[in-house]
Amino acid sequence: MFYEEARELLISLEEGLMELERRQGDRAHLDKTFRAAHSLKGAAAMVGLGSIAEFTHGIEAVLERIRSGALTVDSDIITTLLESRDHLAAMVEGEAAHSPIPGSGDLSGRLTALLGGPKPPPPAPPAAPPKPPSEPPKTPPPAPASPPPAAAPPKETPKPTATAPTTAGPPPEPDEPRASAKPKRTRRKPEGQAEAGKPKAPAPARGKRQAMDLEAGEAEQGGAGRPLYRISLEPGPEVLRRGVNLLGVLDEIRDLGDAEIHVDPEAVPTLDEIDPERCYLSWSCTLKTEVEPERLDDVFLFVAEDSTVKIETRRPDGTFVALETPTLRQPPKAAAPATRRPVEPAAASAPVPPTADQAANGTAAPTDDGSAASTNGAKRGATVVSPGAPAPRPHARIRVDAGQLDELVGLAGELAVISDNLQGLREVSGVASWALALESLLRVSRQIRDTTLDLRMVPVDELFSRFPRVVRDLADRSGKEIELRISGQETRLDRTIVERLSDPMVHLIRNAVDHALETPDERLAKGKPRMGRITLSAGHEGDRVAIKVEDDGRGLDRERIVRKGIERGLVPQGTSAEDPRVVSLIFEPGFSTRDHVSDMSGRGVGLDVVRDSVRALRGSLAVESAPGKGTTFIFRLPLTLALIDGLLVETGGGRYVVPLAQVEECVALNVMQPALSRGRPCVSVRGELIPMISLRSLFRTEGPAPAREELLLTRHSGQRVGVAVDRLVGRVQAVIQSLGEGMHGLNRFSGATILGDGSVSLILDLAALVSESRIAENGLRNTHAPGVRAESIR
Amino acid sequence: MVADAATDANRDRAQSFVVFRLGGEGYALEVMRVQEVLDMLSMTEVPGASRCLLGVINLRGHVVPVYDLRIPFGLPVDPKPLRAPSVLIVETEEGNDAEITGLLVDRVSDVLEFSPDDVQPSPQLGLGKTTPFVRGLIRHQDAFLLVLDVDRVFSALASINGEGA
Repeated sequence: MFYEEARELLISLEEGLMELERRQGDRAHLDKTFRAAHSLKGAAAMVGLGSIAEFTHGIEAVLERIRSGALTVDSDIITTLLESRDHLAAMVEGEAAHSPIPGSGDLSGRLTALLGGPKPPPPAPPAAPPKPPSEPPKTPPPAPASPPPAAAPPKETPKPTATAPTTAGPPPEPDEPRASAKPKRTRRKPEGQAEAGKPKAPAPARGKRQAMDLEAGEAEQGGAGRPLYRISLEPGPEVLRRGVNLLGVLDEIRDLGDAEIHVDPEAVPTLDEIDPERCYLSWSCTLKTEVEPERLDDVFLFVAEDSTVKIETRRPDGTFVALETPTLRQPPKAAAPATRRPVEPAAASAPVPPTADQAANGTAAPTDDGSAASTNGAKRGATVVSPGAPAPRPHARIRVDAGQLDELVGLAGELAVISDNLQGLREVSGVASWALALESLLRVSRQIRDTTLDLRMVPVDELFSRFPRVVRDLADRSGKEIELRISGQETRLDRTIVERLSDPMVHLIRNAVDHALETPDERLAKGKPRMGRITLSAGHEGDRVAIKVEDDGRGLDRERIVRKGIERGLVPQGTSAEDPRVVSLIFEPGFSTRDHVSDMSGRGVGLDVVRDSVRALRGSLAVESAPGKGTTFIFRLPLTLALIDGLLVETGGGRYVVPLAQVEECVALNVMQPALSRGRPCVSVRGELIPMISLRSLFRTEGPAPAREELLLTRHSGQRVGVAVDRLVGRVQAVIQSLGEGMHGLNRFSGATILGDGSVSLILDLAALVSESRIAENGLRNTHAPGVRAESIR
Repeated sequence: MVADAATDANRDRAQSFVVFRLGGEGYALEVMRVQEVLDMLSMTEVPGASRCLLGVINLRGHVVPVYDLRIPFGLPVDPKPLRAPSVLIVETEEGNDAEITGLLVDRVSDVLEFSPDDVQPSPQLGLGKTTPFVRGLIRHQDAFLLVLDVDRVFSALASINGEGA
């Protein structure tokens, strides 16, 4: 249970970090990332994995500093955090495999370096945190330009006391984060006037008043002892069941400063009514502390979800005012708002400052995603643009055991078969009421089948979301600048396909980065933008899904491919570079045996593997390329693996299903004169000589062949091949069943299905048949081994 | 007796065996491994498979392969059996997924109980090709029943299939 949770948290941590780099100022996002780290730490501590908790703490601490605004996000920090995350993932997997991996001292060191030694010193929170050594040369000089990501706009406004000494005090030496934080504050004050024109800015009057409050607070509080908070904590009834350690929370409060904590046992019922898993206690505390209100808020990060937490701060005039903090503001669960003190105007405007803040930054730096990304990307390399707006998954999802799901799919198929079967009976008997009942059964079973099949469908986003990281790392390593665009990520596809597509896609993306995209200088020389672009897109194409991996790099060098193809005897001498077959050469096994000067070296390495894995998914892989403009690889995949459209064929009395996707066309065979080419049977179809395989001879069927046979034309390695069968029976929808472990040697069948009449029909894999017969022919020609044949004759 | 029952239960408890005949010999297989016994159904041949794979059948919506053990066991195949053969549906425990497989037998005669003491170790020699697949002998009605080690049978069948294609 922990591992599943940990893996999920690691994923959201990674996504969060990537996103953090992309849009730096996004507070909500930062909070989410922080929470992922925090939850992970908590979860690890809870199951006693101290080393993981400790290591996570390092990551969390850095995020915490980013949140507090003491640290400005740059790509080095993100890189360190990402590497730490990876190590963390390794640690988690290590634990899962019972071979624990220790925390990395190097990474811990780097994290600590980011923390800059001492924790944020309370008297002057964001003041002069020592910078990581690597940072200053890399960070672009215009400090105010990089929006201090975590400067927590919403929090600043309503906390008149905590930051008072800082803001009021004389400006310290202009260190960088300091510098970035400082202008913001100074700019905030005249906000009422300066931002009045901004449409989203708060009403000027309110802004002004807020500023005045702040100043008043500063004046009176300045140095007059530590701020005083009054905290009341009423845990929700479920809080213990959620595993929240309330004592730990209280300890944390105590750690923050001088705390006086009172417990209120009023609500505890008598012994016979008590539910031992419920929390009946509530606490009230007074706390004198210099820490920033955010820290206070963080203490309640997990408690706040279903509990009522009220933090009040003492104002100069001795009254208490509720502190408005993000965590507490977020879940306005039923009772929470009611118990909170009526929101004051200053607090009410809390959500507004980000806008003002952004606007303030906007004067110095572009704020929209794209351009912000490009300033950053110019430095580091990879950026992600996703025009389809990363839609947060709209539906609640539950985890389902994959095996059970498969079983359900199987049952649904079975039900469909039974109803097909009954449908057949109806035609025999023909009683009206029966017929009606049958029709309902038919309809329901179809619906069940469709719904269960739908259960297997997941959005390709589950696949695409991994690639920003991949591209970022690759860009980092290759020194290229790459923008990753993603679209159509909501397209849904069978789970299994999505899972198995990952490796082929990583392969293509790596190829694109390593070989297709030019270096920034080369690109500039060619008049292209510095930043190369890789586009991942998904969409429907008829009953298939097309997934494209597109780059705007060099494109394939057809001349060179042809030359190599001729060299290796794959295409005849004198083949033109424009021949459509040329591109498919790159899919030949081991085609590109790395020619040093070749532009496309490496392009072919393993592409045959990519193609084969796509074929195994009953899909195809196509490539389009224009010299100098780029290359596009297009995967075309069936929506699901569980069900195929098939063609039912018959040979020697046996019925087989051929996936429709593998058949290009069917032609009748008797009209054509079989011809022989190099000892292999061939037929001519509309003037083209096509090698032919006879299912009858391959299956060693006895009895005479019918006068008229049918030829299924399929494509194998870019070449058309015909497979002859006795006759076509019709189209079927087949629920595919695996043939089981025992029959793995039999590649020619990709599974079996049960037909409407209850009989089992094997599903033919034409591609495997073609390869098999080629190997057989070559083998026979070379060895003349009749013994081999006799073995399998029944 | 009561105190000993718990410890001795496993050892002493009689186990049920399905007794069947195959190629003129009597075999026994733990009843726990047998899911059901079917009459011979219509079967779909698998062209190109090894000879011991008779074909696949539809067992209530599941495609199940059926093997003829007489071939790997080197037993005579009766071309004209007096009665239709039966199929034992057996659970295999290959990997994590429990798969089911059919085994063609001439005739299922009995389900009998034997205590573990009745099962004698099988001789190293003298059982011909079946030696590796037999894990013991049970004396029954003046003859011996061969106790089948189905897991070995299945791993052997899997490797035969690998070559069969």
